[in-house]
Amino acid sequence: MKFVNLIKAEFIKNYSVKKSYIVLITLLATIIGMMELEAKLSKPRLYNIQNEIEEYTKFLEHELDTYHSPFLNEYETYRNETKLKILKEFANEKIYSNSWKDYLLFQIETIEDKIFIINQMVENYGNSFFTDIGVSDAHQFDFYEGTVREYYGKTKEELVREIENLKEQATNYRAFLKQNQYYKYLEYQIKHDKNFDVDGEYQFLVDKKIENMFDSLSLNQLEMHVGIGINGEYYTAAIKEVDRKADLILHYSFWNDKKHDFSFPEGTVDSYLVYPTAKTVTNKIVLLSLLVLLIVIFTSGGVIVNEHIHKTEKMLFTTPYKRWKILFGKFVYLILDMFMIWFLAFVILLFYAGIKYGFGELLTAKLIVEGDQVAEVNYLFYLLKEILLCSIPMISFISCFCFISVVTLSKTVTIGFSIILLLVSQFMWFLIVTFKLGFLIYTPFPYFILGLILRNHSYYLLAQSIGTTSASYGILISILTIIACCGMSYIIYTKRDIGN
Amino acid sequence: MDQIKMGNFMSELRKEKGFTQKDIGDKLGITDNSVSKWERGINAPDIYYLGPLSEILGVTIKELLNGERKRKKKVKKENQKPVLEIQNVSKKFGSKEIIHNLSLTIYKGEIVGLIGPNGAGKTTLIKTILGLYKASNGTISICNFDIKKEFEKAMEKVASIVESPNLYEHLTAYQNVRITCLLNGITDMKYVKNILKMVKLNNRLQDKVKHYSLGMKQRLAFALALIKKPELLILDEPTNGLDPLGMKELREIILKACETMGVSVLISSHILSEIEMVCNKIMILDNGYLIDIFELDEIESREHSLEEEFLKITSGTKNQIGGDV
Repeated sequence: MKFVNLIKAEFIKNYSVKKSYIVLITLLATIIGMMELEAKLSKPRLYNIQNEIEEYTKFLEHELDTYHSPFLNEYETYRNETKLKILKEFANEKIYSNSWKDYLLFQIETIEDKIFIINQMVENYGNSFFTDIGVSDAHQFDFYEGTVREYYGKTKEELVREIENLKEQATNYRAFLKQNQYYKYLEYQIKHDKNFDVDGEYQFLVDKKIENMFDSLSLNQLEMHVGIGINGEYYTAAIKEVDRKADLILHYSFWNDKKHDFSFPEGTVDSYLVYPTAKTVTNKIVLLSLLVLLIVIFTSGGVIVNEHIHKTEKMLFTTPYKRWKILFGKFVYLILDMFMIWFLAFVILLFYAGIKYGFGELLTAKLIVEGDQVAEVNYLFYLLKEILLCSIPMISFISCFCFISVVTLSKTVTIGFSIILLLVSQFMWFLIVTFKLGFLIYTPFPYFILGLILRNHSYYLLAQSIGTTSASYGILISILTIIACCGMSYIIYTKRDIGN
Repeated sequence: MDQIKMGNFMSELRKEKGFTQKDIGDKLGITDNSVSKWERGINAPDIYYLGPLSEILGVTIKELLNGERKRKKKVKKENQKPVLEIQNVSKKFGSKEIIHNLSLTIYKGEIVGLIGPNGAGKTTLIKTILGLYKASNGTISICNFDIKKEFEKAMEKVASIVESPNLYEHLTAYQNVRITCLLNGITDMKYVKNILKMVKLNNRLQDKVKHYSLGMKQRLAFALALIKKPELLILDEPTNGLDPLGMKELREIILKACETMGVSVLISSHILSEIEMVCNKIMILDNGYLIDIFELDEIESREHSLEEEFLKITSGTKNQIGGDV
């Protein structure tokens, strides 16, 4: 009871209605501002087909290129006319740039071109023009010659069958595109293309059922970025594990028609390809720990130092409390302050996500991987668990902050140094990977924002190639930091003579 | 100071204690020849030896300088209960000793004035009593609670105003009162209101302390001290910066508090006239040594004032600086 009075006294000293308003306004402005900015940046661009038609028409008013071969000239004319025809065919469709529809549109054009070329090969079967291309081993990146080489050597009947297959494919693609049949498109690809990588596509599968979603991912880019791709040199066990879990969750959500919130590690997918949902927005609560700690520093940064500056230490240290209890009371106050601000941030985020993207989604289950199985857990409880996990490194930061206060007894130095420490911790994984500062993995600094680990920050994953670390390891280091900082603060605070 | 009288007195005390001159010399780290010179009145001990020497011989410094023991006044029975006991306390900062092996006792109901020149160690002593400084050695007990072993219980019994009113100026007076009540477990609001009425601040509680005058801050600090229901009140230069009216108000509050609540008070001040008006016992500190303790009415029976007595004593001790060993 006596100790509770100490905490109450700290609240009277450091909390005011004015401060509450400042905290609330800061949280509202920052959270809503950040989310709106992200939503705006991830908004896809609509493919302006009308504009494309106008420009292409102007282009075709000029003379086309001519080639030495009549087959090529014929193809050139057909290609340009077909492209314009296809553009006009889909002029009224809503197609986003770099979307699956954009890709399909390109595929339809490609298929029509292929059909024409194969038709030429059938009608002029055995012609030396095609033989010359077919047997040549020179590197050729030209589409025409590439297609000829692909089908050279097949019999006439085989070529005719291929034309029929391609026509059927084009018809199907047209249907998928016009009827927005993304599921059917995927099923078709799985059935017909053994090399087709559907993993990344599952992310958006269930989302298609939500009206405010849009199609924003192209297969090629997804294949490039997820998995081995251009990041092959950094492909470590950690990234493999992330991919394994992503694969399990995506398959589960696809086959069970469940909404998931698994987002790819930052940096593995271009930012404009990631779109916000209610869950992806509320997931960011673990990343808001930086904002929460900054607010705590600014609003309660003088909790320890102010007693020295305003000379109230003399009164405080002659109350019936040992000095270590007084210091501990201030430490507990800072932790409670942190939790209050974080809880407020959580509530704001929940309401924003719910109002913008629907509260219903927040009541759906969270999909997590346990071993080799996918389990469904209560989403809000899961978030609260993550918040509690992230709070341990935050408490370790506060213990560092208290230690700096006790040592320096200067508000400017304490707040300034703490802000720098906090902001640098945001980029700590980047520093570890880029400058090979592996020793930092064994310090508490990279773990202050544990959310970066929980959300599989790409540089955290890359750092696994330098030294093995994890969220559990981070929590252990945080606990040791709390003990060390509290111990050192105790020694300095209790032994110090209180001077003038 | 009569060196021969002092020397004879020293010799008498030494023999009473059963020490030889060599014993005294060994204890003080000097030769027996030096001790002999003191006893013959050829030289007087330096100020730095006065304290240890008086302790060895079992007298006060003043008694040693005067060459005679003071007649001990009969202590009243109700004063038997000590509220503050300091035994052999020293305080060092680095290698420099500020308080030298000091012992004193304050009893219940006493209002003690602690006087001394600048740099005598008054504030250091007060801060050491309150635990703001850690004593280098010795024990300090407040109401029989050792501040090292039972700090919290000791602090329950004492309240203080050290150097300036220690208030949270960004808060209102009411909030300051609330904090004090919380930290000291005070729940009797009627009592609190009476204290605030006594210091005449009951109508200004919702004002922020930063808007208070110095006199009002001092009164508020005093109220916060009394709210604790202390047995010992320690005031370090409480009238600093106050105008005569402010001083008078504070003086009246102190006397009323002592009268109604039975609080013992230790006041440190430069203003001897204020000490004379409030205190009934005086302690004189100089260069970290407790030079003398006497009841105020002892001075009243003499022809000179407290100021004259103070100057006589402190200049006497100052004459010892640079004395031959």
